[in-house]
Amino acid sequence: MRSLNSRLRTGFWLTLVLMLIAYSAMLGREAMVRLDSLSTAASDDIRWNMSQLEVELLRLQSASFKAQSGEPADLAALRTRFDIFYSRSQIVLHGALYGSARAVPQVRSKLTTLADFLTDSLEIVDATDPVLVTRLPEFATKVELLSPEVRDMALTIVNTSARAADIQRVKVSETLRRLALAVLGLLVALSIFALLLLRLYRSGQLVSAEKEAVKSRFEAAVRSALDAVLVVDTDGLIVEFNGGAEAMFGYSRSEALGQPMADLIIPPHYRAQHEEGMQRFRKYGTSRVVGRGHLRLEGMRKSGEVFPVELSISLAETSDQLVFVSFLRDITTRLRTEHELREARDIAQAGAQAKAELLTVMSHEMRTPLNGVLGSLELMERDQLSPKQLRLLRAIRVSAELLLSQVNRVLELSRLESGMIEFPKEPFALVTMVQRLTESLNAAAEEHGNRLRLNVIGDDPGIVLGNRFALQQALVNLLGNAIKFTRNGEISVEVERLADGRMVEFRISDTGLGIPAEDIDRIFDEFVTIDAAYARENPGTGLGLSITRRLVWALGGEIEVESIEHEGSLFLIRLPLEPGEPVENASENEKEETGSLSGKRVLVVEDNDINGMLLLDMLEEFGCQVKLERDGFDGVAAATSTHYDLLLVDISMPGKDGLATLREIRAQEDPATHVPAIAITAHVREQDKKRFVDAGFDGFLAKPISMAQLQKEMSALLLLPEEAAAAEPSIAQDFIQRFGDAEYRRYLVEMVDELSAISNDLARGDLTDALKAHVHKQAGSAAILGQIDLHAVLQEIEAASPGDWAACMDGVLGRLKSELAAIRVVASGG
Amino acid sequence: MRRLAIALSLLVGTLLAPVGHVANAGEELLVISASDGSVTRLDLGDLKALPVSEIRTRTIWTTGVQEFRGVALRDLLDHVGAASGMITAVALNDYLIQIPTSDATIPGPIVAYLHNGKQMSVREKGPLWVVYPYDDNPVYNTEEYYARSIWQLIRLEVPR
Repeated sequence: MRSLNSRLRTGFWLTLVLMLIAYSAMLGREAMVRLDSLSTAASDDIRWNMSQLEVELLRLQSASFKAQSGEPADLAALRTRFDIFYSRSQIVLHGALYGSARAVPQVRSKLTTLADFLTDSLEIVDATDPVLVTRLPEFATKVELLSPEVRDMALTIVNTSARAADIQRVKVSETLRRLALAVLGLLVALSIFALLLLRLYRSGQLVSAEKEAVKSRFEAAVRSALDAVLVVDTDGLIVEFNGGAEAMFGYSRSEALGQPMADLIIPPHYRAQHEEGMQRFRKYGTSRVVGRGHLRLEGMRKSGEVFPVELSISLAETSDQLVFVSFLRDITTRLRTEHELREARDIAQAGAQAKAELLTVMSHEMRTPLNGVLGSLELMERDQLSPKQLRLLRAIRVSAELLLSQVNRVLELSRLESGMIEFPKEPFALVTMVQRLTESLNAAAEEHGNRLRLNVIGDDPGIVLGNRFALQQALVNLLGNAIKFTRNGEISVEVERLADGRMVEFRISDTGLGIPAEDIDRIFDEFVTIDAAYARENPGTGLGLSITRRLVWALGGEIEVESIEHEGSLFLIRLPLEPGEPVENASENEKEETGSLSGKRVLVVEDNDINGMLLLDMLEEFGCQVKLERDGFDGVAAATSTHYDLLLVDISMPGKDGLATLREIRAQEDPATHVPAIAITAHVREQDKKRFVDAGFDGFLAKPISMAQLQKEMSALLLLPEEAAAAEPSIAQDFIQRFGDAEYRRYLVEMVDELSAISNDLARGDLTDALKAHVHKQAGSAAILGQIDLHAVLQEIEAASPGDWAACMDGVLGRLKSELAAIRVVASGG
Repeated sequence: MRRLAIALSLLVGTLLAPVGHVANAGEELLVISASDGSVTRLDLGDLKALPVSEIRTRTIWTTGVQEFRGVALRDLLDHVGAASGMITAVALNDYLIQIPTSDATIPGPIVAYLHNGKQMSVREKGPLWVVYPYDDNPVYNTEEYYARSIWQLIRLEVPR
């Protein structure tokens, strides 16, 4: 706006000045013409001529007197005088000099008189001498008469010309005055214009100074930039090359300036592409690299070394020239670091993965033999043992049970770590749950002389929405710890809904040992056990707190700890537990508890006899009505003909496996009457779980199955509360309790006999599918009967490929035979 | 017969009257006296023998464009070998004017002996008239040059 204003103003003044100049020039020209006419008007000449006319007339008069003597010379003189007068008169009569005078009437009449005189006189003057002499007196009279007329005319003409000259002079002075005024105006306008120009010049100077400052700042920035900065013109020639570029490419600035960039720093295999790009830019003004942010390309040093660069190119206009400004960064080190980091990360990830898998597989592989150990121990306890033997046996059992629980914890942690466990939310009565929990732990607390108290601060949170099992487990872990590390003290649980209405805070405090300050930061880490006074009596895996923390995190909450050594600890959990709607009959269900499974109709599809019998027995003890089918075909038929409340399906079955069986059942069932199904399998890895869910299973149980696990899983699916009992009795123990020792032995002998027969078939070197199916069936029996080594050998046979069998057959069969012999001793010896 | 002769002479006289007497061939027209005492006398033939110059211009003493033919002053001065300085020009009526030799340029003033193709009588400001090319050069339109435009020229005094 301002610049437009000033431009308009400048234009106005410029126009004015130009107009004044034109006007002054016009006036100047007029003044010149007028002055010219003053100098050429020849008013002096007019006067001179007039006086000369009179003079010539007088001389003519005098000559005419003199000629009266009659002398020829005098006559000739008279004639000459007449001719001179005549010629002079012609000027007045016809000359341009007297043009304006002749217009005056007074003059005109005199001129007529003059002309008449001349005409009359010619006759006399041009006559012969004698005639002239005779007529001289007449001529003299004419001349005498003319004299006053000429005098009169001369005066009139002189006066007229003087007036004309005056008028001329007045006009000239008027023109000059106007000229002076115009010039004055011009001067004023020019002064203003000059002032305006001065101001423009000053502001221009300011602007250019500013530009200069910006430019020098930019140049300083370019020169001092750590990155390499290259400025290249549209012909590809380098116009700026900063210190960073010198260091990066190895050329000095003076070497690089004016050189084609392509030859200097672009590796040969990129040059054609670069030239193409430049041509495209020159032709169409478009580019694939300008203003496209950071690009990764390659550069070349003076030494010819090619290295990776990251660069950004922008287009700029400096002093009417288009240039490309490129910022380049040598990313050799960065790329190498990135590569190393990536490798390290991959290695770490692979390591973590391997660790997780190892833990899972190992724990799983440990569980089965442990169950075998525990089962055998129980069997031994029934025998007649000396008190010492019995004591040793119990010690072994305690250790084995501890080991089993630790293995279970490791499994649990790795499941939590994998993040694949979901915690669906359901409404439950929070305080009721916590109350029941503290009641169940009361006995353990009292054992150590502790008092366990529950305080609800503020209003009862009532029904909340959350995962009760995860929360329950977290609280059990913390309370268990508190009980373990406190003697004759007090343990309290506080529950409080926080002001935001969303979060609930649990505070578990004890008056126990406390945690040393230097350990408090790592107590949530895996496998950390604090070497405390009761550590010997309280051996642990060091996984409890880290499982707890993972549970809390998985529930979207947070956990904190405060502790003073020898005074006590305070664990604090804050969880999002929004108020929920009570489920119908929720309280009734709570009270119903045990026995809720009774009357449920359950279909078991299991090809392994022992397993099938075991499940049947357990389910009947729950009060369920059970139907057992030996393969998938019968299973599908039974499920579709009768309605069941629950399906238990073995995954590995010959002919139609469990997945196919359930898929077929699901395909035929009415979606409204969805029957929950549990997979029974030896495989419990996470990737297997997905396959089960995809096939339509709602849960799964790993072999060997304990009653507690079965009850827990069934209760969860049939929407019933868990019946308590955290401990997992061993499978072999279950078996013996259920069927007695004799039956156990009988099954062992039966298995060994069958395997001996199979072993003979295997020794023929032909590993057929039918043989493998037999081996699989016996492997299941071996697991249930606690024969772990045998189970491992059988699995090895199952996994072997028929092609390789002949090669490894001898070794494997040798081990199988020695296992079978050992078992036969156990089965028969007792 | 006599009466006829008288009538004829009268007629001729009337016709010739305004023209007046013009110079005859061989009649001395101009006397150029140099400062060293030498004198050059020129008749019309002498003048015509010199290079001819012509001027077409208007003058304040006549009406309309006039054609003058004669000798360029420069040629005339060169003819008599004049040095530079002041020329004094004298007319039949004793009019006298000084003309600097620097005026004698080509183009420039001429000493005219023909006006509109005719010889000039004394009544017509003849027989010789110094004329400047007034229309060609505005400098000549001043009193100074008008005064130097001497007619009825009979004598020149030149430095030598």
